[in-house]
Amino acid sequence: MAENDLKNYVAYASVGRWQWSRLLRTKDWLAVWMGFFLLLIGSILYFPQVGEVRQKLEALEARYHHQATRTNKLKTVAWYQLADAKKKVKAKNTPAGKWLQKFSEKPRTWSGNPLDAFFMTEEKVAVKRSDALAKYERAKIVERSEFDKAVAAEKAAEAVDFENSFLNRRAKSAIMKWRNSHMRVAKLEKDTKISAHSQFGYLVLLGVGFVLFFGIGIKAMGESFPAFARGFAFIFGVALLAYLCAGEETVKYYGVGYAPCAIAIGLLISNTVGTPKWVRPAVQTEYYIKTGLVLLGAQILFEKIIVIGTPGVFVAWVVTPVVWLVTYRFGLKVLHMKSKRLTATICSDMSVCGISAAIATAEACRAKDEELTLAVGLSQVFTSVMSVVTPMFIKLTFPIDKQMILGGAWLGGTIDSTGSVAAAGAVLGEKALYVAATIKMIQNVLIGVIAFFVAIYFATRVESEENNRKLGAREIWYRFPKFVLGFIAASVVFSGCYSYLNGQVSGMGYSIIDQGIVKGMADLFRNWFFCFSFASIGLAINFRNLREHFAGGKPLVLYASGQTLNLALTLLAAYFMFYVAFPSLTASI
Amino acid sequence: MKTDGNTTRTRLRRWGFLLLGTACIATFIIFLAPWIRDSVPALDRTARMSEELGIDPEALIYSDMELSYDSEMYMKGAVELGASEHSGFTFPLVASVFLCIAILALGYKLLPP
Repeated sequence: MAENDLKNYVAYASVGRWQWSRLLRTKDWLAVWMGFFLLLIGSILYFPQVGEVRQKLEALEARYHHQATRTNKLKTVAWYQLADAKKKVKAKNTPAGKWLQKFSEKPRTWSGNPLDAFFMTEEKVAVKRSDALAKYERAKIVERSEFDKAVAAEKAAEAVDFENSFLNRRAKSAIMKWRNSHMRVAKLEKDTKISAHSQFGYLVLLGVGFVLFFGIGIKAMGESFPAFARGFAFIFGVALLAYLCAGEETVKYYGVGYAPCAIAIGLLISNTVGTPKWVRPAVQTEYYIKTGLVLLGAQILFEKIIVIGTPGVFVAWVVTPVVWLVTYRFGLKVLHMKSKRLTATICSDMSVCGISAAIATAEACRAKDEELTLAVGLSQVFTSVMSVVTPMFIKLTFPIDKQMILGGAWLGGTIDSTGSVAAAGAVLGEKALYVAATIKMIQNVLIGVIAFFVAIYFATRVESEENNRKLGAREIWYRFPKFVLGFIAASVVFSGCYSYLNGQVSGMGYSIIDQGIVKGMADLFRNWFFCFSFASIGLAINFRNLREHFAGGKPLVLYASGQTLNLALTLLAAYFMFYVAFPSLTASI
Repeated sequence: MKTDGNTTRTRLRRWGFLLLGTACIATFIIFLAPWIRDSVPALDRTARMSEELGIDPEALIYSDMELSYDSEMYMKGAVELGASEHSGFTFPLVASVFLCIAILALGYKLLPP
C-alpha cells in the first residue's frame, strides 16, 4: 500500500497538463472501460429482446389487467397472478444468457461434502430431487387449498362490491396466506429442478477468461502479462476457496459471505508462510474493485426509490446522511480517530448498507486496505448479531399492529447487508420482510450519492488540508477518483433506460434491465471481481498493521455509537412517516 | 549451518501456523457453526426461515437476492392500488431527495477539512 501511495503521489506531483494516454494507462480509467465493456456486451445481448418482451408483457396485461384492477381496496388474486406472470418474463432467458450464467457460476451451496459445491453425480442428485419433490408435493397441496380459500374470500368481498370492510379484511388475510404458501412452493419448486453438474471445465474456462480480460489492462499499464497470469491463478484459487467456505449451508445462513472468507484466507497465507513473490503482480486490489464498482453502478437505478413512496425515501435518504455526518464528526472530534478515511468508511458501512457501501466509500476516499478490512470485519460482526437480536427485540417490545411495517422499516434502515435484513424481516413475517427489503433497496441506491459526496469532500477539502495549501481545479481533477465518474455514468444511463422502458410497458424495465443487463451480466461478474479484490487485500496486509488501525478499539466504539444513533433516528423517522405523516399509505401496505 | 537450521525451523513453524489456521477454519465450518446453530434457537429459527423462503443472507445488495424484486413488486403495487396519490415522484418525495442533498451540502461546509 505504501508503494501505491508513493505511485499516487508521483502521479499527482508530476501532472502538469492533461495527457490522453492516461485514459488507457491508469487503473481508474481502465476500470471504467472494462466495466463499460461488459455493460456494452450486456446491452448488445439483451436490448434486442425489447420487442419480444413488449409483446409478452402486453399479452399478459390484456389477459389479467381488468381482473387485476377491478378494485383498489385490495390486491386481488388476479393482481398477484399478473405480477407472477410478469416476473417470469426475463431477457436473460436466452441461450446466450443461460450460457453466461453457467459460465460464470460460483461454487454451489454444500453441506457435508465440499466437493458437492463443484460436482454432483446423477445418483446423488436423484436422492436430493426425490426428497425435494416429496416436500414440494406436500407444499403444493397446502398452496392449492390456500388458493381456493383466497378465491372464495375474494368472491365474498366482491359480492358486495368490495364495500364491506370486514369481508375485505378477510379476503386480504386469505390472499396473504396463499402468497406465503406460494413463496414456499416457489422455493421448493426450484429445489426439484436440481440437476447433475460438474463445474470444473467451466471454472477453468472462467479463470482463463478473467486472465485475458484483466490482462489487457495490465498490459496497457505497462506491466508484465505472463507474470500477472501466473499470479492470477493463485488469486483465483483463493477466491474459489472463499466461495467454498461461504457456501457451506450453515455458514451461509449466518450471513458470512465471500468477503470475510476471502480476507481471512488471504490474511492466513500472508501472515504465516507469506504471499509468494510470483503472486504479487496479480495482487491488484484497486483494479478489481473499481471494475466491480462500475458494474455496481448499473444496478443503482433511481426509479427504485419511489417504490414505497415518501416514507421510504425519508427513512433511507434523510436519516442516513444525518447519521453519516454526525458519526463522522463524532469520530474525529470526540474519539479523535487518526484516519479520516477509516472514519468515513466505517460511517458508510454502518449507516448506508454494509460491505458494498464500504467498498465504494473506501475507493472514493482512497482508504487503505487495512481500513477497508476493519470496516468489513465490524460490519460482519454487528450484522450477524443484529439480524438475530433486533427481530427478537421487536417481537418483545413493539405493539403487535406495528411489528410488520414499523419493525420492517426499522430493520431495513439499520441492519447493514441486504441478505441479513431479509432474514431478520422474515422472522417477523412476510409483510415485514417486504418492507425491510424495500427500504434496504432504496438505501442501496444511496451508495452512488454517498460515494460521490465522499469523493468530492476528500478531493477538495481533506487533501487540501493534508497538503497545507488550497488545491487548484486541475489538481482536484487529478486527485478525483475517476472510477466514480464511471460508476455515476453507468447509474445515470441505466436509470434512464429503466425508466424509459417502464414508461413503454409496465414491467419492461424489470425484464430488460433488472433481469437482463443486471442479472444476466453485471451481477454475474461483479461478485467475482469483489472476491478477487478481497483475496488481494488479505494477501497484501499483515496483522500488525491491522492492529495499529484498531488502536484503543476506537473503530468499534465509533461503529457502536453510530449504530445506536442510527437505531434511534430510524425508529423515530419510521414512526413519524408511516404513522403520523402518511397513515393512508401505511394502511395500503 | 546454524543459520540453515534456524531458517528451516522458522519455515516449519510458519507452515505449522498455516496448517493450524486452516484446521481452525475447517473446524469452525464443519463442527462449530452447525453446533452453534443447533444450540441457539433464535439463530436456528432465522436460518430455517431463510432456507424456507429462499433468502440468501450473504446478499450484499438488493440484486443479489431474488426476493428483493418480489418486495419491490408488492410494495409498488400496494401503493399504486391503495394510495395512488402517494405513488410516483410526488412533491414530498422529491423534497426528501433534495433534503438529502441539502444535508450533504451542509455537511460538506460544516465538516472539518
